[in-house]
Amino acid sequence: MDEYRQMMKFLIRRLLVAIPTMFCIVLLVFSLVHATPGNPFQGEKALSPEVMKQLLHQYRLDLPVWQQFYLYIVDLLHGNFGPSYKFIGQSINGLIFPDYMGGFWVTMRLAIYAMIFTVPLGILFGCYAGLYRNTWFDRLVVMLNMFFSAVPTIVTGPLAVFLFAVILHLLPASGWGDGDFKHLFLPVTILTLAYMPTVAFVTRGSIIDVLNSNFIRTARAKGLPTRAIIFKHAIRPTLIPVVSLLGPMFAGVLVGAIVTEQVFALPGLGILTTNGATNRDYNLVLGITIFGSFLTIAFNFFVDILYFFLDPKIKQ
Amino acid sequence: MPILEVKNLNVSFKTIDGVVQAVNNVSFNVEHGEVLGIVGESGSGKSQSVLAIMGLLASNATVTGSIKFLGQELVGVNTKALNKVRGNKLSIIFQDPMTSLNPYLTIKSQMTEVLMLHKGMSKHDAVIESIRMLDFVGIPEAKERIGLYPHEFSGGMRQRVMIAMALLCRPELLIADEPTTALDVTVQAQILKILRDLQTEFKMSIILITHDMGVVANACDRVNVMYAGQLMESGSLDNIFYEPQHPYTQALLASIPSLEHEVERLATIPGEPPNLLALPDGCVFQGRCHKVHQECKGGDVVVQDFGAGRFMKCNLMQNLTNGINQGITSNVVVN
Repeated sequence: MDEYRQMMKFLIRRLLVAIPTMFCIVLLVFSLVHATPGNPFQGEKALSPEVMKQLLHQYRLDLPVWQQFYLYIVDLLHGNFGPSYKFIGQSINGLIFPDYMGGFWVTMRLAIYAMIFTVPLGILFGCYAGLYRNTWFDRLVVMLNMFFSAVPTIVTGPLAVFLFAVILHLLPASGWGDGDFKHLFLPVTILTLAYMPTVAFVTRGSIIDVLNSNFIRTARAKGLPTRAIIFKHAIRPTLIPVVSLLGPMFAGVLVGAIVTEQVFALPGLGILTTNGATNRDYNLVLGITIFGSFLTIAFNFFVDILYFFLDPKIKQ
Repeated sequence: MPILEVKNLNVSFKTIDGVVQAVNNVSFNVEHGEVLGIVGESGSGKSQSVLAIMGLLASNATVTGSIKFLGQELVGVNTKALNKVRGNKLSIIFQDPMTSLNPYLTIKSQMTEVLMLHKGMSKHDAVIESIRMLDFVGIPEAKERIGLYPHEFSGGMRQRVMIAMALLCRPELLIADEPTTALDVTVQAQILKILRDLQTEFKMSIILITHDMGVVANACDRVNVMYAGQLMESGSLDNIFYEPQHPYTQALLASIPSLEHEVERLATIPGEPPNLLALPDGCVFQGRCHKVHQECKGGDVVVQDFGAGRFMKCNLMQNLTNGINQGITSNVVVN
């Protein structure tokens, strides 16, 4: 009961910090988007002044900025990201969370599949490399981490397409298909390769640190078998830095598989973001950025909850 | 038969800069029920020699020689065989109680696992026994506190927990590696008292490592003086304190501040210990010894055995004739 109350106190404190953070993000992004010169309707085709005036009025863009901000916040609090300026008649909510397979649903599927491989494999490889330090496997993990940190998905993606689709004709080059294995294999692999080595590398460093710590020496002095030392004494402290890495990482994949989605032409949030940015669709860029920030804060919040279970010192 | 027999123990570490000779040809015994003090300055190999006994050296260490505990050889045995002994008949407490307990597990979980492993106790019995041991080392309200995490205890209390944990299986030999160094003076005294009480209660032997001469005088029966990885002098507490023979021991004792005389500056041993990567030929103490002469600068150093477990490693011939050390066997062994 006491523990439950402590946890609620801890969570409420974290939530109270999250609210002003979120507000600052909205304010900042809103200002940045509205500070861009011109307006959403100044395209290649010049519109007549009457039409322009009508459009600006219709989308409330003729109001003073502070009023626009106020109305935007009110909309946000109702869970409404506002209308799209380019996809006529559509709301941003409808674009991010469509009724069909697209937008966030595509990105979410992609991210979940990628994380299903990234997290367990990364932790496993990292632990193994850290336990058997300076063996060929350890060196391979370190080397792969360096390689995939240095070579971004914009390179590995097209290379994979070139190899598996163009030369070997094994897999389709791009597209979502119906979300089947063949269409998702390459993008999921590319995303996994981009993130897994980092997870492995952090886990490796963490377990090496932990195994060198005094309390592990105590555990060895007690005569505990290696298995018990690792699974009872070492695994929890090892996972703490990994968990704090995973929260923002997962949030990052959920909003930001931008490059991978472009390379494989997947109709997810990444494509929407680029569309929004190149078309001056203010509300789309705002909506996706705010949604992304919300996810990041939410995942950090989730990580905090995990911390509460992993580290007894936080309970105080 | 001694409980522990260490013979010609060598510990070296391979590093990028070369081989560090941390412990050099050290031999000593620990008898049943005795408290052996090991003194020496930082880097003299005190800790590394006992870590070698526990099999807890860093992975780049090489150990040669022989360590026999209750007749069983510990050098070169596999971890599984070692794990039957350590935590059971052979225990250790460390210098830093703040980091030596696992911060992520309750005291209960860390204590009971020892009993369940070595004694095959049920969880229930192990908890009862652990609480009893915590009572013994003076943890108030042990029954409630056993469920707490280490960070909820003070440094002195954590060291008590460490001691209780090390004693759960009633070890024959307890190694205390500077158990009071990280604690403040009043707590030091309490911890030393607990160790002494426990030693009489459980009739175990203790190796007490320290660089505090006061602690040695308080607690030990016999003393080993170490310097640069070598055993310089060994003898009973009275031998070492009242008639030290080795120039290093003499200098060490002379550097204890006196309460009776006021002095401008404290006595020190000038110079610094030799580099363990490149030990000098001859005696390791030659650079700082005020009695150094030509033979000290090369060749083997004479080990003079005065009998009754008393010996020193020094070329300076001592003729102990004042009767306290009868049976001087002028049994000169060349190392």
